[in-house]
Amino acid sequence: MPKKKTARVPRRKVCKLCLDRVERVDYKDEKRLMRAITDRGKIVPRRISGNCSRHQAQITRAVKRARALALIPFVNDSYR
Amino acid sequence: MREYETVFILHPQVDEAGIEQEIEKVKQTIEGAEGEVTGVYKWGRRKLAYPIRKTRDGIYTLIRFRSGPEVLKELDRRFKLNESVLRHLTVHSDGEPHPPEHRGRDRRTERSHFRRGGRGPAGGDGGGETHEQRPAERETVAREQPAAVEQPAAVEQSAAVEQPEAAEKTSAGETSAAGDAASGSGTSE
Repeated sequence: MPKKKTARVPRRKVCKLCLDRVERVDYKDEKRLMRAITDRGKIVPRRISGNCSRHQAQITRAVKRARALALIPFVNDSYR
Repeated sequence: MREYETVFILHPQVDEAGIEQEIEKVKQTIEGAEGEVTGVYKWGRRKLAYPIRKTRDGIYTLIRFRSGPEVLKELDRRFKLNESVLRHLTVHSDGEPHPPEHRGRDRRTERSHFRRGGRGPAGGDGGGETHEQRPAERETVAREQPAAVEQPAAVEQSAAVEQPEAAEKTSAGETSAAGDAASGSGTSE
């Protein structure tokens, strides 16, 4: 099948946390925070995740708190 | 008066009585300054995401309280002096939606998320130098597997079962996403 030469239309991203109607991102919410970081442990940037600024700010803060408490890693073990 | 919560991690060698003692100390600090303890939640022993002072486990305790701001300084000072406290964090909690005890225990379920990244490049872009590190990498991955396989697989499966079978077929994208972690851990055996 020949490749179509159409430009990729970027799909508009929606903040997942807004969809879930999350009021506050909690630093104890390990499960959610693990989804907000990459496999190396970095915080997923807004341009990738599509989060709104309010929620991204909350995530950032929560991730940093959770790291301090060793709930989530600074760096994944296998990359150390 | 404001609502605060403090989490502290005790060294795993502290025994039950020791834990109670430490909790009591914190309570006294708060109540001594006319604060009010509104809740004590023991998460118990769980794995640390990274070793702290050569230990990989810690005993987590969360305490909620209402007090004036001057208590925080005193708490912080005492935690710092206390050798058996690995880490501590005190934050202003404004009616947080999450019940504070809803995580606790050992939760390494999200490890599967990491493993995907860890073993991804194994076949591909390897340079000569990095090859030496890989066996070690695999070993650590393998060791973590037993725990990781049991939990997420069970959770994902039960989630999949709840859906009607017809829906399962039509929304293949959704179910595969849900089963992703389960299948990921399955193939790695």
